[in-house]
This record gives sequence, C-alpha cells and structure tokens, in this order.
Amino acid sequence: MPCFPDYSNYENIKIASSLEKALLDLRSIMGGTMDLNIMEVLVSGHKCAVVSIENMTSTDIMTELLFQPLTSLQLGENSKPQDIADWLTKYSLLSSERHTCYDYGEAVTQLFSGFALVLVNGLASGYLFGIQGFDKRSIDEPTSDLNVLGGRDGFIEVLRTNVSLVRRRLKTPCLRFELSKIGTKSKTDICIVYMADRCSSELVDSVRQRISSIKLETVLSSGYVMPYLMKSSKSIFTDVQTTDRPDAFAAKLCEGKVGIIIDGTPFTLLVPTFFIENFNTVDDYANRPYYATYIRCIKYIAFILAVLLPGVYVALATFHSETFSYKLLLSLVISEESTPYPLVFDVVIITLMYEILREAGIRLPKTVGGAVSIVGGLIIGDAAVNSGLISAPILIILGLTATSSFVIPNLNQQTSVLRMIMIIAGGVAGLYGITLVSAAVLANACALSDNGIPYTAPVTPFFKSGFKDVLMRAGFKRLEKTQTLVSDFKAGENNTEEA
Amino acid sequence: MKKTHAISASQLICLLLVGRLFIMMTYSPAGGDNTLITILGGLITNAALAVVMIFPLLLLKKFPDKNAVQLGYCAAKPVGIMLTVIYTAFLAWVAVKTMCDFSQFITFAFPIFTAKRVIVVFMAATALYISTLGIEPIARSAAVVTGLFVVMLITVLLGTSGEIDIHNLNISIEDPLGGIIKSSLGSFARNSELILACLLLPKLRSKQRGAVYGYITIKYIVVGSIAFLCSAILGDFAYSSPLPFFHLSSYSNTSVIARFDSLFLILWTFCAVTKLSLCIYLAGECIKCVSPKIKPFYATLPVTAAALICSVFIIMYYDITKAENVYIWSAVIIILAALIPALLLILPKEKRSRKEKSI
Repeated sequence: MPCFPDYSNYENIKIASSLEKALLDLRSIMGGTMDLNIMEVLVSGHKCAVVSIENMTSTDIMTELLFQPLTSLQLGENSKPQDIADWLTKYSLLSSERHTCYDYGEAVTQLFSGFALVLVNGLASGYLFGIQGFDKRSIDEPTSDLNVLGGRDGFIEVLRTNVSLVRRRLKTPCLRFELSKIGTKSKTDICIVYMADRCSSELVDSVRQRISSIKLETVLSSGYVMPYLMKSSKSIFTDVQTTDRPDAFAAKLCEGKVGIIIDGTPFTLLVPTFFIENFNTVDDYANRPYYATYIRCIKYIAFILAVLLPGVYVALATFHSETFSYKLLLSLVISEESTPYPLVFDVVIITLMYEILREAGIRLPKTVGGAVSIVGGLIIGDAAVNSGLISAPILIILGLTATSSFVIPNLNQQTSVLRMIMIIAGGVAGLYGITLVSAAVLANACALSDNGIPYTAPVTPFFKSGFKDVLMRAGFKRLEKTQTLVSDFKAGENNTEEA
Repeated sequence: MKKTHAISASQLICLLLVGRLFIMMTYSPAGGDNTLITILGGLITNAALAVVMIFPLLLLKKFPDKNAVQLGYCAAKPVGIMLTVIYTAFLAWVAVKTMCDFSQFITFAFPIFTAKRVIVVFMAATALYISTLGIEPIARSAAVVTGLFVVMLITVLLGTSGEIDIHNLNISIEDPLGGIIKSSLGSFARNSELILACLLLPKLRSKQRGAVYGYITIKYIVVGSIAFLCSAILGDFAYSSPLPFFHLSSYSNTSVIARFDSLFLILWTFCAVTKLSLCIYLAGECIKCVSPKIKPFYATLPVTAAALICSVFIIMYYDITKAENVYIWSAVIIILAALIPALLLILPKEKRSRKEKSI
C-alpha cells in the first residue's frame, strides 16, 4: 500500500497547475484507490489527463464525447493550454452538464457522482463533464402502497430519474427542485421539491433549515433524514410521509406540501402530513366516490380493530362481561374454561407469536416466507387450540386484528406497539385502562404539528373545507371548485375557517 | 399581538362542555327536584352566569392578552402571588374533586374495580402527561370527546327509544318559588368550569363573548335534554338514583350489546381525564407566572402531586360529598369569576403597560 501525504482537509486545496502535481494530489487524496481511472493524453501538443471513477461513468459516452473529440482536436502549433480550456468550455458541447472547478473538494465530489475530470497541464483548474453511466435499477412497480387503477411506475434509487418522473407529471414552471448535499462523508444528493404557487415560503424555509441542520457523516436512506424533518421526537405518530409513488408525490405537491428526494433510496419524503392521509390511496381518486367512501370507512374500522380489538376483548371478558349478550357470554365462558392461563396472558403470548411470525415473514426470502405462514397459521395456531393452551375466540380475534392491520400499512409501527399496550391496559384496568391510554394517545397525536399545521387537521381542529375529503371522497367537480392547500389548515388567528 | 398557543371559540366551548358533562354525569339530583323545576332553575342559573361573566369579558376587553393572575402581577407582586395561590388552590381542589368523584363513581358503578387509590394514580399520571403537552392538544382532544359524547348519547337513545314515556315527567310543584331557588342555587354551584373559562379567555383567538354565551346556551340545552330524558325514561327513579345519567345507560340495550354501562365508563373517563388535564395545565400556567422560565412538567408536577396526595387521603378517610356546599361553591364562583376580575378592572391601562415593560 503506497504511503501518501495527509490530505484529510483536501476540500479547499486549489488544483495545481502542474498536471503531474495535480494527478499526484488526486491519487493522494483518494489513497490510491483501485477504481480511480486516469487517462493521460496529448491534446494539440499539450499534456492533458481525463480522470474518472470506474463504473461511475459510461465508457461508451466517454469514448464518444470526450476521447474522440479531444484526440482529434487541432488548435495549431502556437496554441496555449488556455485555448484547450476555451475550446472545452466555450466552443464545444461535449456534455449536457459541464462545470469548471478550482479546488480538489468539488473535483472529487463530482468524480464520485459520475463526472469525468479533464485536467490540462499549466492550468490551475479542472473541467467536469457529466457522463454518468453507473448501473441502476430500471423503473419498476412501487413496492408499497400498491394500487389497482393508478400508475405502475415507481421511484428508483437514482435522484435524477426520480426528478424526471415528477417533472413528467407536473409540466409547470412553478415546480421547483433545489439540489444540495448532506452527509460529510457520503455527500448524498438531496433535492427539495415544491410548487412555488402552492407552498408557503415559510414552510420551504423551515424544511431548508431542517435539512441544513443534518450533520451526519453518512445518509444512506430516507430514514436518516426523517428525524430531522419531524417536529416532535416524542410523538407516537410521524408528521413525515414516505412514498415511492411518483403520482402520489405529485398530488401531494399540488396540495402545497414540500417533497424531499434523496439519492440512493426510492422512498421520498413529504411534509407536513395529516393523520387522515394514512387512510387515503391513489385508487380512491380512480374509483367511484361512493365506493371510495365505503372503502375509507372500512379502513377506519380496520385501524380501530387493529389497535383496540384484542385489548377491548380482554377488558370486556375480564372486567365488563355484562356487556356481552347471554348466548355470547356462555360460549365465551365455555371456550375460556379449558385454558390454563389468565386471558390477558394468553392474548399477550399469542400477539407476541404473531409479531415474531410477521417479522420472520418480512425478513426471510419470499420463497421461505410462505413456509412461515404455514408453520405459524396452521401448525402452531391449530395445535395451540387443540391442546387447550389458548381458546378459539382468541385465535379469531388475532386473525381479525392481523388482517385489519394489513389494511393500513402506513401505520404498521404504531398499531403494533399500541395493540400490545392496549392489551396490557385492558388486562390491568379494563376499559378504564384502555380509555386512559387512548386519551394519552389522542393528546399525543393532537400535539403534533408542523409549522402550525396540526397533524389531526381537518378533524380537530375542524376545517369544513378539508373535512369533505376525510370520511367521504368528494367528487372531482366539487374538489376543483374548492381546492384546499395544506396552508389552509394552519391553526391561527387569521384562519377564519377553523372551528 | 399574535397568540402563539391559542384555541378557537368552539374548542373553548368543547373544553368547558366536557368539564360540565363530567359534573353532570356524577351529579345526583336533590330529592325535591322535578323536570319543570330543573328546567326553570336552569334558566335562572344561566341568566345569573351571563351576568357573572360580564366582568371577565370586560377585563378581557381592557387587557386582551392577560388573565387575572398575570394582571395581579402587573398591579403589584404581592397581589400577583396572592392571586396565584388563590387560583392554584382552586384548580387543585377541582382536580381533587374530579379524582374523588370519579373513583367514587367507578367503584359504585363497577364493583370489580376495588383499588380506588390505584385508579386515581393512573388518572393523575395520564393527566400530568397530557397537561405538559399544552392547551392546544387538550382543546383538540376535548373536541373529539364532545363528538364521542354525541355518538354515545345517540347510541344510548337508540337503545332506550322505546322506553320514553311523557307520563313519567313529574311537573307538579308544591313549593314553586322555594323549589326553583333551591334548584337554581344547586345548579349555579356546579358551574365551576366558568372560572376555568376566565383563565382561558386570553388564550382565545377571537369571538370571546360568543364563546362564553354560546357555551352557557349549549350547556343549558344539553343539561336540560339529559334531565328530560332521564325523567322521561327512568321516571321517579331518576330522582332517587344516585347516578341517574349512568342508570340511563344501564337501562339501554340492543340485541348485540346487553348493557351500555361500559360505553359510559369510556366517556366518563375521557371527560374526567380531559377536565383534570385542563385543571393541572391551568394551575401550571399560574405557577409559571411566579417563575416564567420553569418547564411545563415542573410547573404541573407539584400541583398534580398535591392533588393526588389530597385525593388519596380523602378517598381513604373522608366522604367527598360532605364538601359539596352549594353556598360555598356559589361564593367561590362569584369571587373568582366576577369579583376579582371586577376589582382588576380598576387597574389603569397605562399603569399595566408600564409595569409590563418593567417585567
């Protein structure tokens, strides 16, 4: 391993005018990394070098757009190094992206982003050309928030491709993309997206500030950025929405939200978000309004079941059995009589089992995942009931709960934890305990707001214009008449609509 | 001046209504009451409340962004400290009464809950957490609880719809004047939430007068309707029952749910926690007047702890109903909601501003 001088603070070091020194500097900065590719060439009698990073640039494009024009360039015998620079920057169009850099910091960052660097002996500057050609996943169907009638293309890991997917949907000059870099080591590209005519400048400024406050060394996914965008770290819910659907992303931008696209992840972020949006899908706006309304009601019921059903069952069966009708009570007593453990213990154990199986199903390869379902659902479930360890109603309750939780995947983290808390609260203090926890969770959700826009709007605080799209899905004719923006839900003195 | 942490008029109505619903649910009517007297007494009470609330509203008009405690500090520090003590003690007592009433109700209505002390500890802990979140979450939660109340009332009504009998209404009055005076005095004494309204008014963004009088009107309609339903469904039992509103839910049933007691337990708990959180929050705000830099948790913690210890002590050794003296409570309402604001009205606007600058 060659020993190079310390170049740890290379960012602000100016590019050396001597080509040999500049190339030595670059090698030193990169520690002799094997993927640094340096091609030295004589252009019009002057020593030049084309520097690139292996597999980050396209060999075909580099040959066509750089090597061929440079090798065939004839500027005459009396030409100076500056003439080559002028030709590169003023008299040719070698690439759609072209920069001139004067320090190693920018040169190195752009090299790692797939640019080619042209250095000319005698010039203390470098010329960068965007000829990216790294391997990337093709545009594919989104993995989350699947739909029946919406678009089939989803975001991928490459930021610029994602930008184009949004631009294709919103062909307006009001759509703005602001590119910056985060991560002191990873130098990850991050792009703030907003509609200038829909989004308040206050909100955009706030997002800019929050992103600039990120001092992480590496940013590898949207999860690294989310905590910085969230206004409250103590909340159970999150006021940052994630999506890998360009159509959903574009729709939210039109509502006045700010989007964030991060290079290296297909999941984009949107702020602010509302609780009710967890129950809305792209399909809602493709279906007939009455059907979308029906489905939304189902989703709200599913959320309540996913969180409360096991806890309420434990509470009712343990503390409030008078609620059940006589026949139901009898059959429950018969079922529970044969089980050896207290009801709350049974439900906690079976819920834990479900969470373990679910986690195993997610992490395992798809081919093995099916086997987990069979083991969990058929063998363990059936055997547990037959052996009398748990009662059949508990299994029905858990099945219904699990199915309900699949209906609202966005709230999966919250429902899993809250479900367990509700079971314990119901087992300890019946409906009283469940209500206390519910009151705390409700207040916790109500306390969440981003730039004065409450997470629980437009339900509480109540906004009539926004409420029309909460439980019921309003028709497009009605929606186009009263277009609501997120800034309309800002709780404050000037908002006359708030109730 | 922009109010950063503020609530809307309808949120204030919901907050006060939730507090009133809790009192109403645990309230057992005096033996002499009948439907007509309750309704007429309520009218007189509301007229009196409307007069009482003139003073806080006038004070608010003169000093839009300060409550009585804050104005006390503007007048003189000893006055401010005295008002802090008075209002904090009152709020702590309301918190104590809320916890004691609730524990009494829950152990009466649901004998399975025997650990009264544990019940109030859980409730105090939840209320402490909610109160530290601020007034906006409490107000928003109150709006949801109000909606829940409407849904549950409809559910119970559906379950008892076949039982409403107009003949159950007792409208014969033996001593009309005495009965009405007794009823209105009893009704007036149960309006302690108006003192909470006085402290909350400066946090309102707009429509302060509308919120106060809107609340008095809505409260009258809700309380009157429930009194009417209790009498029409339960008959004379409504006046001999310790918890008529609760028994209304026990009486209600459908083919799916045998009894609605549990549903009312949910509503009761929500109302109690919301009211308790509001009291603790406001007490914390009063303490913050003494030490503005104190964090919300540390401002509310001593009040919660004191109220909890007091509640546990009362639950163990006393009967809270003995403390329900209508004359004392009426006097407290008049002093805290009318007299103190009326006295603070004497403060000149200029003096307040000068002192405010010095603070």
